[in-house]
Amino acid sequence: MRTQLFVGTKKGAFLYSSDSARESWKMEGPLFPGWSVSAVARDGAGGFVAATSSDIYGPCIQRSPNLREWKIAEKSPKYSEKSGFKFKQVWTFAALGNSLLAGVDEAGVFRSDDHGETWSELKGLSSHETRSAWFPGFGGLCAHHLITDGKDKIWCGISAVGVLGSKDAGKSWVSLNQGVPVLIKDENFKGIGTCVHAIQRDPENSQRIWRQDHVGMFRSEDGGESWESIQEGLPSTFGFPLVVDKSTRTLFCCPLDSDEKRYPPNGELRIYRSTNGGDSWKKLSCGLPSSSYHAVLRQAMAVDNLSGEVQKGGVYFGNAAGEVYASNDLGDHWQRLQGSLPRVLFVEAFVS
Amino acid sequence: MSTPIPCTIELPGMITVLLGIRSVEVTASTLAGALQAAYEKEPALRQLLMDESGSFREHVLCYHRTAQGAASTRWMATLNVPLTLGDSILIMQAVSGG
Repeated sequence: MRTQLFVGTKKGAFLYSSDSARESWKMEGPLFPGWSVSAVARDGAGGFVAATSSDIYGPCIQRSPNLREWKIAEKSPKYSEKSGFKFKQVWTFAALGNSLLAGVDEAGVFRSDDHGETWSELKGLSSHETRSAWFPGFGGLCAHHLITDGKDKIWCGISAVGVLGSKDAGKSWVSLNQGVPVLIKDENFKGIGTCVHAIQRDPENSQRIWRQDHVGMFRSEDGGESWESIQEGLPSTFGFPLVVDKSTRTLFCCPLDSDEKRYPPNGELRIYRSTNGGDSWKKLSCGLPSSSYHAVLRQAMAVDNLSGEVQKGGVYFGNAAGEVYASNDLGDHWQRLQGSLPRVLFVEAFVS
Repeated sequence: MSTPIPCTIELPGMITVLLGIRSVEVTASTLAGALQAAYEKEPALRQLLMDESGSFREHVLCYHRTAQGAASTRWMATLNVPLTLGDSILIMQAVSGG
């Protein structure tokens, strides 16, 4: 098995292809030179979708059969002019049955039933009763994480609102933030004003959800109805990426010093790993640099889920300095891949 | 109604990156008609140049180039401006500073 890493940056995307041991990597790119590339995913029909945007020409969706040749989709997500909302960027894609979902800034979710060519708004979310009280975080008012049970349930992470969940494929939504400290209190609405940074679900149990929040790491055992802190063992409460290796249910995160500094604590770029669902965390440092003062952004970490009898899963991340790191043994050892890229916005791993 | 004439719409480099073309050739009798014909020929071009309200995006510039010079659509009351043989349209991005 080989892994392809698709690395989206502020000025194009780069494709890294591994050998079968995932020790040697070949870099290609940039794809979409000059364009900000913010998300990529399988399209459910053997191809791929990606999200590009420009400060001048706005956001658009791209489609590809092979990650190398891309064609712009004719119709990207679009809010009605009457709504007053603007579509600024896609933050994430997720599969829901045969459909594809896109979480976007300004916060909302769009659905495609033709593998990314055309999109329609899930109006139940953007017309939610609390919508008037949603305020943007530092990264914008963005729906940045979507997880699903593959059928009807969707969990959506929005900064700085919190997690909203739907049990009817996106028609109606409820806030799911009980137990997480509120950062922006609202006079009229309870249950929002938290600042979720990332969410992931247990691959074997959709009732168990993990959450990297602005104020710490949390876990829910009841589908997001309530949350408990699993912060113990992490060096700070602040951080962005959170990923789970599906083959071993291992968690990885990258704490940052604080919301004010936003760099690795003491300049030591370290990944933290939990093999027991967040009950405890182990610091991983072999091959990672000290004196590193660049953040790892929200979507800039990925896993390839290749753990098995003869090999361990791969873990990958990029940082704001344009450095890309890879581990082929669930984080025990790391190597920096070739290239000094623009600011890395996301990393995604595909196995072939 | 004047006779439709051929007109070239030159595209900026960032759009060439996505669409793989440097220009669009259309036949139209007005500036508005030329742009509409370009959107029909290259449907993705509309979302790249226009915002939700159907206006040019804030930092997109469109020039009507004639034998007399180039005029920005930003200062035109209407895009229903007749085209003359030899006219072309130039799309640019408004980027300044450094």
